Amino acid sequence: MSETTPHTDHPGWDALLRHHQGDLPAAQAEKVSAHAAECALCASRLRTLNEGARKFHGERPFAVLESALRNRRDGLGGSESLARPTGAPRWLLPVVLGGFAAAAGAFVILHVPFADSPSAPAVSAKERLKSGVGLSFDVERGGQVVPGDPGAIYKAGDRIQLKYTSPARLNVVVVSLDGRGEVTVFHDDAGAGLRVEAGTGRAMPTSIVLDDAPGAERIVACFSESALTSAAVVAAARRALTAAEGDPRTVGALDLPCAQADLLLHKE
Amino acid sequence: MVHPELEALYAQYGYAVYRRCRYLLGGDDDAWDAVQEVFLRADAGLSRFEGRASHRTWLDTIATRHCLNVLRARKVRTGRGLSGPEALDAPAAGDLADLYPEGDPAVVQALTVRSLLAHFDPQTQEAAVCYFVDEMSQEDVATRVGLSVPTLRKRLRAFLDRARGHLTRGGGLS
Repeated sequence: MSETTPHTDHPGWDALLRHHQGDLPAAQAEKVSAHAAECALCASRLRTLNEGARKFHGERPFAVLESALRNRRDGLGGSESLARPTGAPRWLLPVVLGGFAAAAGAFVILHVPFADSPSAPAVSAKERLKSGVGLSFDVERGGQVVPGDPGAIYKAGDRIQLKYTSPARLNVVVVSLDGRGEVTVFHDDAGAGLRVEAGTGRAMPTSIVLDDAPGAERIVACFSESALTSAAVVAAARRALTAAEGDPRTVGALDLPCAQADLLLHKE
Repeated sequence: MVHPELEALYAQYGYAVYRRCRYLLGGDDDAWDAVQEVFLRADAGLSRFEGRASHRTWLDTIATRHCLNVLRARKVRTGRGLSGPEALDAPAAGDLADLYPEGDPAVVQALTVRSLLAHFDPQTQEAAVCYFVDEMSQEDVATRVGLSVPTLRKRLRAFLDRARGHLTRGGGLS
């Protein structure tokens, strides 16, 4: 660890902050202290850190944070209890489940057709294709259906219709990985892969309405010719999410012998 | 009920998380909202925390990525492009007054970096903040963002080149 800024001989902000937090090894801490004793700029930076921290924790002690976290959870709990399955990502509300009775067990099912979806829309240029498989989506907002853009920010009430591209008749399991470390199965067939036909931009039988919780969400479709269980996909997704330190944006491919396509959605 | 380690983490690193969020988002309310989001995620992730990075690095990474996401969302929501000089925010005088001592020359650089972040990919954004704002060494930044030192140097050079091309007023990068 360097204790001086690359630009000058002063300890950088990072080193001063670590000193303030008590994270510097003793030898480095002594060096920083000795430097600050002779340097007005670094001494004033350390004072700023100390005063800032005292003010921050004075105004927002842990009890305030704990209460805020509880309120956030309670707020989310209300919507979850109405229409979301246990463990579902907090901003996605499946509303059309078609024949997927197993997946529907824990849902309150609201049959809301995904109206006016283009019959054979072009696959989004932003979808990621691997081994000929792909995943894209349409979004319905204010009565209009338009091709989805993974780079856009979506909001509560937007309806998402996932669409797949497959070069052959394959089994697919679709899961979502969210920033809370939760992995949820969106499409399967009673714990096994859902049989899908070859085609481009084919709609999945379920659409999803975004709820009011913000965050990034990665949706991964695993295509396989062989039997593919939802449990195996979920386990691999959890490993990938853990490897990415819980950040869906940086999740890599799942370590499964299958072709994969994924989307990263953002919600304000 | 929160994770038993959360209170100690907040006591030690809560202000650093706030400071990061306050710098990137620019306002106290937004920063406090982001602090809550960071500790909400930390609470959810603590039981799986494997210690490959320090708690400090882990929290800082969560905070930085969350705030950069918020900034990207702001740009999209306001319909502003992510490239071109029209997307630049002019450094606001006094914006970071509570984070920097009076007369600290680094505040101008910090404001300038923030105003340019939207032009770069997330990894370069994180690297630029660590290097130009946190004043970390290139070796430490490379480790933090997962780049080799030579690649990091190229990214930082590209950041500087683009900064020079875009800056129309105020500040500069050293």
